Amino acid sequence: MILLCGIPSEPPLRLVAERLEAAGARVVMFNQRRFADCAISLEVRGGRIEGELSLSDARYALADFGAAFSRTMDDRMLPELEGEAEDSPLRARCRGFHETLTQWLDLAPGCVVNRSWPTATNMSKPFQAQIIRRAGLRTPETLITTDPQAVLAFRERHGRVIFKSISGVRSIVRELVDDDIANLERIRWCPTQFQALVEGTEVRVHVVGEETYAAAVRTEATDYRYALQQTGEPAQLRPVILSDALAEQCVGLTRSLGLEISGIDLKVTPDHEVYCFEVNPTPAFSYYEHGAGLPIGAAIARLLIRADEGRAAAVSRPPLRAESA
Amino acid sequence: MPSNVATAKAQPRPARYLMLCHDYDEAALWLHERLSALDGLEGELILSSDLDLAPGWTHRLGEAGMSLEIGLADGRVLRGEDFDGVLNRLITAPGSLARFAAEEDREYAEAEATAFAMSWLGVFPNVLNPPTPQGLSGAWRHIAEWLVLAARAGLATPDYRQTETDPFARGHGSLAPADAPRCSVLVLEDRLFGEPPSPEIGAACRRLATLAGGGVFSVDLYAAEPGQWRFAHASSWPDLRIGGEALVRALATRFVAAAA
Repeated sequence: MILLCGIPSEPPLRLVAERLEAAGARVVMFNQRRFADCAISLEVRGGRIEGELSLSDARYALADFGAAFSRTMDDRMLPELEGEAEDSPLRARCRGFHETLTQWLDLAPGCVVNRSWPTATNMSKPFQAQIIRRAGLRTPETLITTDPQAVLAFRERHGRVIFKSISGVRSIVRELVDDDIANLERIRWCPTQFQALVEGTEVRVHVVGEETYAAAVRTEATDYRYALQQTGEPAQLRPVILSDALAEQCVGLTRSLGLEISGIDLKVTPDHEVYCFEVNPTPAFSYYEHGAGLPIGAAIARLLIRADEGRAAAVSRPPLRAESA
Repeated sequence: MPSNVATAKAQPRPARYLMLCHDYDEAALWLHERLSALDGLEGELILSSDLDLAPGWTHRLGEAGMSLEIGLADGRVLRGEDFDGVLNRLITAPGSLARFAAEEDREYAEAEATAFAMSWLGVFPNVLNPPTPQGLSGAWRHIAEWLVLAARAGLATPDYRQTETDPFARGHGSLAPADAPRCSVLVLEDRLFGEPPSPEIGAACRRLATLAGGGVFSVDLYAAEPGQWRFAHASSWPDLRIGGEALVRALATRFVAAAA
């Protein structure tokens, strides 16, 4: 059986559910918005993982799930909790359910797309950049500083420079322009991340197991996710084929992070040098599926079905967490 | 006074270590006091309050590798390459101003401080315990994960059950009953410190250390029945005093070896 977790109308989750249904897979959907009607128990006995999941109308042994696809949103922000006090019983139950579900997903012996611990690497972009570099991919020259003079020297050296958050919060890329220089004193008590602007073509690579699906992005925007706001024109996508070597690097990077799927942001310069900016562990792949005609949802469905079918032969031990640093 | 292991071999220069810890971390302060008394070692103690108030941060990543320079308020300057080893005991990110951010910005400011610390801590060589996305000084694991690892290492484990009605803290505390006899050992990579109840349990604790990815952490056990010891908890932020003078000597040897 395959467990899907999240809000069923969310486009990536809906896509995978449709592809699984079309393939005739046995699927169970946990709808986050109905958490109040659900229950879960996680048990560890002699190192073995057991437990039960109760949804509105049915109960399942956790051991019967051979694969899971999780796209849960931050449960604290669910509409059903709007107006609830911080210490309300409903809020506590919601948190307790998601905490228990997350722990089971992290320990479940089957295929989980994706577990929580490797998804956390992109909470620090420079931390993840260190892992990316160890995987053999280039990352842009980066400066994080409280020193305005260091920023000016960095800009002098690299020409065009962007700045963005260090964490995954408020992650919008902006170019440092002349009008910003007067405000540089503001960084003195707030270490801020600057990067050399890399000119070239943006490429988003989705890795699904051993497969890669790549789309080139055409836009004048500094951050193509906000192309419409920044330039008045939406970004245009087209499918591209990666070289075998680059595809292997992307698959290897995804695996080294402990992820089953990823969305990797690359930029290919006019000199054909490849820079990697970020690995997104919960990619919104439906945007690229629709924009570039890439069958990513179907690939994820195949990955889940294969894992579920191979369940009997699978190693019956939960995965070890590898230190990512 | 600890025995002077660091002078056992002639060194071209003293080994330099950095102790990064919170102001309230009595175990780290104890260890630094012991280490800094040894010949052949030079230690720098940097408290989180020093870092909170540090005005000058410059951290670079690029083709030339990584670098870090921290200018402290008292004029000291820390550089990543100045140390042969680091004991990292930071469990929250420096950056006191994040706590004073406007309410709507506080979560963002704290996320930025944590994300920054995860990166700059990676510049230092030979860091015990390096940052992970699950904890700045090594991964904080849920008790269910510790139980799986402990059982795999060969330790007896109690049964554990958690449901949606349990509070968050249940998954992060000790499983030892309040009145049960307890025992704690400390593991530094593949070495054990303290007195395990038996050599077999000691060996299992060392295997647990390997499964958990190394570093320094404690393993807590309790006696369910006389002589029947079970896993209770483990921590990547242990009371270092469990290791006693043997731990001091082992760390000194480690830092000296790194310098050589």
